[in-house]
Amino acid sequence: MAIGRKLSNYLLLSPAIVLLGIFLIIPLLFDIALSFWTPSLTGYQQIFTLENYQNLGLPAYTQAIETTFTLSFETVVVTLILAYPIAYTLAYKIRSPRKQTLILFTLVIPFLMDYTTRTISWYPILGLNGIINALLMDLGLTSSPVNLLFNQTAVIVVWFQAYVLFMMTPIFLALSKINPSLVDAARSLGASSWTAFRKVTLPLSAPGMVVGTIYVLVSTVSDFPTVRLFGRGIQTVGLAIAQQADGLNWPFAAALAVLVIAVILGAFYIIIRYVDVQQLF
Amino acid sequence: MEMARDSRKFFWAYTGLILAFVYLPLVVIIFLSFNNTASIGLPFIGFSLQWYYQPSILANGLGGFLADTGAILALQNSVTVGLMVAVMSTFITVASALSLRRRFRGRTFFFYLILSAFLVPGAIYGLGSLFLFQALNIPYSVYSIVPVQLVYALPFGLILLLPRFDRELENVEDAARVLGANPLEVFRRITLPLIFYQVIGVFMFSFVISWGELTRSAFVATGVGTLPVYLYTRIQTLAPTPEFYAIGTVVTSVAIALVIAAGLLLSRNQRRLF
Repeated sequence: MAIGRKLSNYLLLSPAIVLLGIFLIIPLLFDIALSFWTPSLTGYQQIFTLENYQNLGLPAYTQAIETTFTLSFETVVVTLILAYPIAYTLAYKIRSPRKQTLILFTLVIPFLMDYTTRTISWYPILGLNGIINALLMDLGLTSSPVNLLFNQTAVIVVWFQAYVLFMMTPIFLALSKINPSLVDAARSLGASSWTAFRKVTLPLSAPGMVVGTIYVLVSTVSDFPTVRLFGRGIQTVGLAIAQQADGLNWPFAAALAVLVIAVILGAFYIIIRYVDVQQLF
Repeated sequence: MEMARDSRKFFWAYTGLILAFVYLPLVVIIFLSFNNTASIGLPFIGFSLQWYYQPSILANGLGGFLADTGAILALQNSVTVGLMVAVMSTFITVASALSLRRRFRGRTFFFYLILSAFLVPGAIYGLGSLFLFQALNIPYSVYSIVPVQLVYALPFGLILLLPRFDRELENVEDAARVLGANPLEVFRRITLPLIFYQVIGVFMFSFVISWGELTRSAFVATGVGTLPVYLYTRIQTLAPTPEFYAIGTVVTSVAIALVIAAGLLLSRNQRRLF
């Protein structure tokens, strides 16, 4: 009976294991393998080389790498700061679970927009005769339209709208798991509400912030469609991967991919040394 | 007390402001999809449904959604691929959840293995899949998108389904077992009916994931691909018209309707057994 039960556990998991083995693990191993192979006209030849990694040092790519991680880092900071109060409102300022669910749902909806349409919808918003410029001129803040498109700030704005949900939700989950009597205890021991927040609530919500940060980091690093359609002239690693794949320089695309995975794993490793992410699940 | 009320007002106002901002693009695409002009920008010239159905509106032959053969083909592909992903994802998610609800050796490892599909950036995963298909000499078709999206849909399904296996459900199953039901009977007569709504919810949610996916699919799709792939490919060669907003409005509305339905099903806790 015990053995049968154990066996059934693995048997039930087998479809997932087979699927992930073939279609997740092997593709990632291919990324690693190809990064050490030689580019050729048809894609690659199985001859070992380190040239792909040496090419990462070319100025065009060090620039792209720097831009990518600066942009992603800034997006993470902006979404974290702006999403936290929403998660806090949802967790503590709304009593009825019904209303909580309703607002969570309301937040999910914009995330369901199609990528391409979502991106071009920002032209009428940020463009020269767009909504924001009309607003700025009405308020007398500027006399002529300001160019708000095609710069790094615009990309951050687009990403904020697209990914804020993924920052907000894990923070909300972490906040709802905090035992309210901990804050009460801090308050009754004389802490001001700000001190209680800083010393109790904020540290306890760290797992949520970490999960949100990782998700936003991973999403933005690879979101090349937004950069291609919106960043005009901005080069990121995600976009470079897509371009090199189209141009059949697969080994170099693979080297870029391995670099990104290494950075993400590194960031992940450093973060989980300080925060226990498992608490969230 | 007075202060508490003020702070509540502040938090509400803040949340409302962010919500308004996040909804702005959605409002813009719906509104401008009815714009009677060839430009995707403002101003709004007049109301028209032309970008939804009318053939050859512009001199170069571009017309509305339903008259666009490429878009219709992409729509069919989206539906086919979405249904395939949803069916397979539901079966695999249910099987995996039945196993992962228990404690056993390797459980944590397998749990995180399934979740890791979220952690791999889409471009890197798409690239690896491209290499795999090339090495195996699998000809590209819209079906090559299916396994790639399936891997991405699984973690969502699992996270949605696992919480349903609570103490209460276990008690009912135990009761059936004590009364002499074999494992298959327990699953068919007790477990499945009790998790039924959640299973349908996972099905719908998986469809939505497939319906909107672009970064991974773009690497392995050929021809027109699914609707998001079609729009993304087309915008790189042709200037966009409000037809994009019309397609975007339709794509988004389908996703919203399904997610609302899925959410209602997932949050439903009891289904009568008898």
